[in-house]
This record gives sequence, structure tokens and C-alpha cells, in this order.
Amino acid sequence: MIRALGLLVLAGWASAATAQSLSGLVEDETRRPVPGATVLVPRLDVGTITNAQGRFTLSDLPADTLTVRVSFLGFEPVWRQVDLRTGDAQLNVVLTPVLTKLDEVVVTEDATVRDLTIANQPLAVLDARELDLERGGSFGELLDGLAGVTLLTTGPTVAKPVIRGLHSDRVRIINAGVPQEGQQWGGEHAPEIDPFSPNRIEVLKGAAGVEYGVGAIGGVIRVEPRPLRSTPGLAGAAHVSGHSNNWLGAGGLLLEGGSGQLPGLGWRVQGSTRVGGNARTPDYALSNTGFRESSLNTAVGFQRDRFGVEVLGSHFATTLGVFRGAHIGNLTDLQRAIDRGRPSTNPGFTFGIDPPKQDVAHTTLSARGFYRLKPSYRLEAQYSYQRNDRKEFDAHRPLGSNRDPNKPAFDLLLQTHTLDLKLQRGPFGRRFGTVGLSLMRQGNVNGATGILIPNFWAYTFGAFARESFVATDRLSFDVGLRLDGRVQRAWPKVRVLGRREFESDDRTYFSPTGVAGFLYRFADAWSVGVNLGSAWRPPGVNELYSDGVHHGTAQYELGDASLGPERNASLELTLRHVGPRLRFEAASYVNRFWGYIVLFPSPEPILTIRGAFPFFRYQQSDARLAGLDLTGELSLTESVTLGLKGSLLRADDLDADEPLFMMPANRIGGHIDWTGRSLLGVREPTLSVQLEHVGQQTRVPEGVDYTDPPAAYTLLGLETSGFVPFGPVSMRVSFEVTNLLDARYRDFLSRYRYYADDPGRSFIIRLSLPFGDQ
Amino acid sequence: MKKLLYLLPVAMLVLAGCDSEEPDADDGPGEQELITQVRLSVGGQTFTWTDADGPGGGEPVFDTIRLAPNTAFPATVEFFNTIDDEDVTEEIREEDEEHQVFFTIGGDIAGSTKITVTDADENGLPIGLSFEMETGRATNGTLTVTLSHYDDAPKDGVTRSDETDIEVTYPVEVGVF
Repeated sequence: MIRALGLLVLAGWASAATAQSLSGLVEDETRRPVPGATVLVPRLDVGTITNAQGRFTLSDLPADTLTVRVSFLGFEPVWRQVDLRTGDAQLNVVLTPVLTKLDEVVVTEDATVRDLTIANQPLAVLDARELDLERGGSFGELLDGLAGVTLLTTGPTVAKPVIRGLHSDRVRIINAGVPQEGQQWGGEHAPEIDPFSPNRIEVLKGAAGVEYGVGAIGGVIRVEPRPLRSTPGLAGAAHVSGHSNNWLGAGGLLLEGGSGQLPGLGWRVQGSTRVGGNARTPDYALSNTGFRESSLNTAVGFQRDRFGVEVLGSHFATTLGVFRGAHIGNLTDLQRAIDRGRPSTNPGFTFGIDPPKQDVAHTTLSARGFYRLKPSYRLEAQYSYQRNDRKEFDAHRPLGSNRDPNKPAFDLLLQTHTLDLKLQRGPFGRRFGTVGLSLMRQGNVNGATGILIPNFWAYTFGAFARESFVATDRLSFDVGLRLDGRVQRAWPKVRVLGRREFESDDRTYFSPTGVAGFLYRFADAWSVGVNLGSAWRPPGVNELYSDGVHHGTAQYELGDASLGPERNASLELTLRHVGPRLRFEAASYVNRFWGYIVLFPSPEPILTIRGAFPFFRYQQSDARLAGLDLTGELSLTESVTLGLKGSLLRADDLDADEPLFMMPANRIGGHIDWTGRSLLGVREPTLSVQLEHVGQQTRVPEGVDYTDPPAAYTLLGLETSGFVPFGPVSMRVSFEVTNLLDARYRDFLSRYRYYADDPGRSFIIRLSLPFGDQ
Repeated sequence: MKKLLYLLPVAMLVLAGCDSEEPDADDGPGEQELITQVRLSVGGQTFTWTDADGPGGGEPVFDTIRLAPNTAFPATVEFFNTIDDEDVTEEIREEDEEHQVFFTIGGDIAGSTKITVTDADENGLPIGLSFEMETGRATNGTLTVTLSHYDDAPKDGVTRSDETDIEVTYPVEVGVF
């Protein structure tokens, strides 16, 4: 779709006196040619695109004075008058970049301007090259290390991205254009995304735009697969990796092709598998922490100048063990595990997975298309279907029940349909924008237990408009508004005279979302972005209806069916510098919440026949999260780069006048990279030493946690990579050591920190080999 | 554009045609907490500890154990699911190598009242479903009954597991009633 700019169809032929021709050159600010730019004579609806040298020719034009429009995504369009009354004419145009919009993945020639104007709010991007150096880990682990992004982990197998302290229902993941819908409310439910599939990941921090719907209150993670091949031929790539800590083996294979007979027809098939065993800390193995994951993604598309369609299908399946040492009975057991300081068993290594475990399958089918109504109007439509099947198995079924070990304790089937329509308009002069409609229908069926998540259905409707105005080549404004409504019916199991019975409960929500911001490139190498946004989300079904003990933390969680929506207002200030040697992005933010839904501890534990449990209720209070994220790089010499990143976060419950619980600790990290041209036959050899220091989270509310927050820790890593000749192509080989010093540590956001250390050192080798017609 | 907009309500109807998510009361989700009552029989008297709707919801109700001083009583402990009227003790007996009942005496009776387990599993390790309770001087205290499940770490007869199935505390009064 991105390469939709083709030859514009000749239509609306007007004049018979057609003999003149117009030719010329389109360049960018740095005087480099711009291939693929559109040159259009709107009055005649005649146009062409520039060739690889940025040149174009329009012939058979009438002998007249004509207005010509030259445009290219990411650049401000240029209008020019040409006089063809006396013969052929020349037209040379210099395009200046405009604010790059997120939904237009544009490669502009001028990287400096692109990087300075990428968005008026903080944005972290992982491109294919960076992702290739991380392949093999889980999806969440790909994002680890981005400033402001941390991980909420449940052992070595489950990693959820946390953006500036917010996660789960407060972060939206858009995978290949489809909003990922699983049981994302659960902190121990990892995103069901094949870590080999992304070609590009964008993390938009803070209340993000109006195009992502309800729930994008803390940020948006956009995952883009490889664009479909537009040129004829067959190609592919193979990736394999091995990790020594848990004997993780991972492999991915990509095949893609483009038709020679039918230009514009392209397809892609991509499969991967990952298998790992028990992870090891420096002192002991973690029992039952293996996993098996496999996925298949397919896509086929056809596109021409004015339209395109694409159909995608993907299936992701994983079985992952839940650490046995965290399977506890009550508060006394938890205290005993904490006092012991390490798990009661050291099982050694195995690939075997026993209950407790999770079995998750996620299938996505989507179809999308675009149609260019006129050069300035582009209509997009997308339908998607997702089926998320999550089964969780307990170590042993409760006494007195059907104790078939194959019967899950927890069995949820969530089906989601979405329909989106978008109309992109412009550019008209200095303005361009998008309007859209979206509809989502969800149904959840709980096959095993009525305590955690009830059956429900929900319809969500949304409409939005966004407009951008490019005031000058250095200043642009962006404003957006969205309205969403949700109608929901759930059947929680409520207590009636000592028994639990299903009762239906209806909820309706309706609320606006808005953003406004500007981006000002106040000097050639400097820009500042300001973004003001307000978003909301309805309370999740777990927050409304939970009523039971949460495994692993031994806490009794009680929902509140009267909770209202949560709303925030956030202000972001982003300073960017892209100089010849130094480049950085510094972003500060204040995120104020009204009715922030939080698990609030009750002073008295709850007494049950299973013993005493700490008692937590979902409640709402006002909260404020404020912080600073910084990433920077300094080129010391042509081949040596020094990097720095850091994140500070201060999160407070304003009603209780206490810190919010479970917020990531402040952290700072750095790396020193060396990149050569060639060494011992290896092309582009690199060597990188990485250091990360995570402070102790000292800001915790009084009397909530069972133990003191874990101590600060420092991790050292080492990575070297290069391209070696492999027949006619080059194979990329990388070798990495994580936790080089085999440090014992527990992260504050590790859900197993009460029971065990985090994993120790791991040696990782990765190979990637492209093949075919590149 | 307009034609496509007309498609929207059509699509909504199609989507609404999906299965209803209303749960079926008969085939509905099962319960997880299935032991709702502990019955302690001491010297012919029965003392119950009941959490009728399982953890959460209504508060548990429990008897006070009243016993004569300086006497040895034969005793048993049983576990019931009162919602479905099932005796769960039999299952524990079948899996006795994976279970053990622990007794903890607290308060003023600690030191004078003693518990001796009188049954054993195939490995000769105590189970705790049958025991003897020997009272001492007349005073008050508590008796905590803990059912440990051994799944990850093996049962050794001494150490409690981290997987407690049941843990209840009775008030105890030793005296002449």
C-alpha cells in the first residue's frame, strides 16, 4: 500500500491541441533526487511519477498555462505554474519534508529531518536490523531496553511490555493493523505475537492519538510485518538462534514472492518455532519453566496504483510452564517461601512441562484494502477476526472435583470482530487529515470457572477525525478527536444465599478522546514537540467482577461492579537533537488520572477455610505518573559510538497520598559500540558492551507488600556480530552474552521475586541468512 | 464512500449473529474451592469449621473445642464439600503419600495439651487423619489444622508444603463444663 504511487491513469482527456511536453527533476532539500514523487496536472487529471533519478516527463500536453502539483509522502506538496504556450518546458522542484505521520511509513531521503519530525510525542522505533539482533526471545523481550519501556515478567516465559508504568488494559498493541485482543487484562498473560514476524515495531508513549480506540491510555505498540513484495521473484530468509541458559532453540523461515505475470501480486509465508526448558538462576534451576511456541503467518495481496487488497492469516500457539515454586496455598505458605529465600526444590534441567501451565492459541484473520478515490482521497477498509483460546491448568485439581489432569482450571475463549473504515484526505495546501469509523464486537465464553472472568459480550463503536496543519516547513500542528461508546453485558457469578449463581449485568459507556500538539524544528538540528492528550478506558471485566484468590501471589481479589471509566490527561514535552556526532531524544511527561483503577489493600486479611489471604479490592482514585525518558548516542570516532539511556518515573496515588504499587524502578544504561568495515573476511563487524543499572524501587506504599523491594542490580552484556560470505549471499552471525557476570538479582516487576532469582548468564548465538532474489 | 457506509450496519448484523455468550446454568463454570467444612471428632464430640460458600463471600463459622483436662481422647479429622454433600476425606486417604495434616497448638494450652498422630502412609510417614489429643491443665488456647499437599517438593513427614489445601484455627477451652 505504501508504494501505491504508480502511474496515474490517463483520464478526463480535455484538449485536442496536445503536442507540448514538460520534463524536469524533483529533489529534496539536500539536493538528492526523489524517486517515486507524483507529478500531477489536476485540471487534466494527467500525471506521472519520477524515475530512480528523480526525473519525469509528461508529454502530449496542451499548449496552455497549466498548474502542476508535485508531491511525495513525507514532503510538503508544491504547486507550480508552467507555460507551455510557446513549446516544451522544464520544471525543477525542491521538496521540503513535512511532519511524518505514523500511518505513513515513509523513508525520506533526509534522515535528519525525518528523525527530528517523526512525531510530536515520544516514539521509539525498532527496525528490521535491530530486531534481527534480538530474534529468538519472546515478543516482550524485543521491546526491553527501549527508554521508558520495561517488562512485567512472570518467570522467564511471560514478559509483558510496560510503558512508563502502565501495561495490560492500558496499552494497546496493534499487530499488522489489527488491535490485538486476548485476555490482556492479566499481568501474567503475554501478548500472543510471533516474535519473528515484526519487521518494524513502533512504541508510542503516552495517550496516543485518536486512531487506536479505547484503551490506548498509556501507549500504543504498533507491530508491522514485512511489506508484501512488489517486484517479481522469490526470496526468503532463515533465522536460527540458540540460548544456553534454558537451552532455548528458535528458528524462523520466511518465504516471499512477487508475480511476474501479474504485477502487483505478492505473497508471504512465515513460520517460526521456539522451544525452551527450565531456566537457570546462578544457583538453581526454576522448575517447570519451559515452553513450546509455534506460529505461522501468511499474507497475499494485490495492488495497483489506485487500489490494493491484502488478506492476512496468522496462528500462534504456545504451551508454557508456570514456575512450580510459585504455586502456593495461602499467606502462610507465601511467608514460608519468602523466609526460605529460594525454591524448595532444585529440579535441574528438563524440557518437560507439567501442570501448572498455560495453553494459549491465537488466530487472526484480516482483510484490508485501499482505494484512491482521487489523488487526494484515499479510502481504507479493514475487517478482522480474532480467536483467543486460553487454558490454564493447575498443579492439581482441587479435592472433590473432577480431577482429570487434562481438565483446565481456567478456560476462556474470546472472539473479536473488528471493522474499520478510514478516509485519508489531502494534502490540500498545508492541511491533511484522516476521518474514520470503527466497530468492534467481542464475545467471551468461560468454560471452567465463574470466579475470574465471566462470560460477556461487548460492542464498541468509535468515530474519529484527525487533522494536521503544516504552518511552515519548521512548524506543524496536529489535532484529533474521537468518540467511543461501549455496550456490554456480562454474566458474573454472584453470591446468592451461600451459592453462586449467574446474573446478567449491563454496562454502557460513552466518552471522548482528544489530542492536540505541535512540532517545531527551531533550529536545523533541533526540534521540540508538545502533545496534550486525554483518553479513557472502561473498567475491565476482571476489575468489575473478580472474586477469588489469585494464584502465585496468594491474594484475594474482589472486583467492584460499580466502577466507572478511568480518564487521564497527559502532557508530553519532547526535545530532539540530530547533530553530526550527537543525537538524542529527551521526553518528559505528566500523566494525571481521574478514577485510576487500582487494587487497593484492605487492612484485615480475609479468613477462609484455606487459611488467611491478604485482601485486595479494585478501587478508583486519582493518580499522577510523571517522569523522564532519555536516549542518546554520541559518535566518538567514525567507528565508535557511545550510547546512554535512562528512565525516571514517579507514580503517586493522590487520594491516598502514597506511591502507586508495582511501578518500575528508575534505571540508567549505556553501551559502547564499535563497528568496522571488514575484519578477517567478516563484513561490518561489530562489538558492543552494554551495561544497565536498575535502582531499588524505594517508592512503595506502606504495608502492602510482603517483603522489601529487591535490591538494585547491574547487568553487563556483550554482543558481537558480522556478515560472513555464504555462497552467493552473506550470512549474519551474532554472538551475545546476557548477564555476563551471572549476577543474582530480582526485578521489582518480576512476579516471582518472592520465590526465586531472575535467570542467570546466557550465551546466545544467532544466524540469519537471506536467500533468493533480493 | 457512501456505499461502503451502508455496509456498516449490515456488517453489524452479521457480527451480532454470533453465539450468545449467556452461560448455561447446568453446564456452567465449575467451582474451584470444594472443601467447605472441616469436622474434628474428639472423644465422641464433633466440632465443625465451615466456610459454606468457599473463600470470600459469607464469613466462616466455627465451633469452640471444649474438653475435659488431663484426658487422652481418640480423634479424627474429616473434610467435606457441603455444597454437593461429598466426603473428601476418602480422596485424601487414597493419596496419602501426597498429603499430611499438621496440628499446631497455640495460646495458653501450648505445652500442656499434646497431639500424637496415630496413622501412617505406605512409607511409614504420618498422615494425620487419625490422632490422639491429650489435654493437660485447664486453660484456653487454639488448635490449627493444616492440610498440606505435596506435589513439587516430596513429603518427608516433618516439613509443610507451600501448597496448603486447608488451614483452619479452632478456639480451644480445656476445663470442666
